[in-house]
Amino acid sequence: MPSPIRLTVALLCALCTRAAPLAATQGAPPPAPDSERPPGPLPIHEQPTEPGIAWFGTWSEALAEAERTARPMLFMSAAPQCQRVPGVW
Amino acid sequence: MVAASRAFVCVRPQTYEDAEEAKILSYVFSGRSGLENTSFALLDPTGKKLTAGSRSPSMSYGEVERFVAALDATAAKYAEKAKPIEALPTLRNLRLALNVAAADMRPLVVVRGKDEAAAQALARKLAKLAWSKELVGEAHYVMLHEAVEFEALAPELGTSVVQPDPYGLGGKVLVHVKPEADAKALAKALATGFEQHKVEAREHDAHVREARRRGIEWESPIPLSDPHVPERRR
Repeated sequence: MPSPIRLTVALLCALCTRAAPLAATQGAPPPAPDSERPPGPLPIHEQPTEPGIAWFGTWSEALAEAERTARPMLFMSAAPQCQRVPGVW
Repeated sequence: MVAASRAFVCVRPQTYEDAEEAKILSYVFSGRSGLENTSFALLDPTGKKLTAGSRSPSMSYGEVERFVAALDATAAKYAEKAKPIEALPTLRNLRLALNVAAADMRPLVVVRGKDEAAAQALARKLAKLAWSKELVGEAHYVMLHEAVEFEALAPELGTSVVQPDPYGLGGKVLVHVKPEADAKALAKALATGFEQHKVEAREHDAHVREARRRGIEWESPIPLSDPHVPERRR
């Protein structure tokens, strides 16, 4: 049974990156919140193996498209920095 | 999970980057201290919550399989009336787009028109390719209608595929096509650019240490308020 930390890592990874779900569930990339991150160095990403989620980057455009297409929304906000360092979630 | 997401309009606002958008983030999920670094929920097409908001899917569902089942069940309720997504999914500006593309290790496609109407026309042309089976989810996009220069990156009129710097501080233009390029030339340019884009494996702590050494720091317009992150590290 994977630990809750590992599950958080896997889910956030799959949501925030283009990494494959299988790689994610195997515990590859860990853009988890600081409090949930296990100690020690961890890889940011493994080599992506398939396309990722196609994200709208702004709320207004996403809402307009959801209304037009009558589709539900998958909403996941994230800060594009870690300890004020860019290039990482 | 990625396959299940295709039935949704997926939106990932960047926390702490826009005051108006922060209100939506707070509606979705807000801790006792205010905005947290991440927030998650499934929403209906009008933006109303279908699920309780939380910090992450794992908080809500625990296991990937349960999350995928929830996505599929929600999508099924809207499938009959759902129309194809046609809008180009863009990021707010070049600075943010480079940062997000760097964090996701995806190429960034910059669309620049001579004015807003021209940029919109280019974006419509590009959107068909962006949502095609071959290219969906491969890149991030940003639309410009003014001459913008950021960290020595000054995209020309037309469409450019950019390899972002690992910290989102500028980038290298891999491929560029002029605004008048037809759909075939555009498709070829995207395919070539995505092929040339390099995913360089990075290690989190080394990435942070190198940023400290070089004095790289990201400034957000909204104060960071996540209580899970120690104040000295915000």
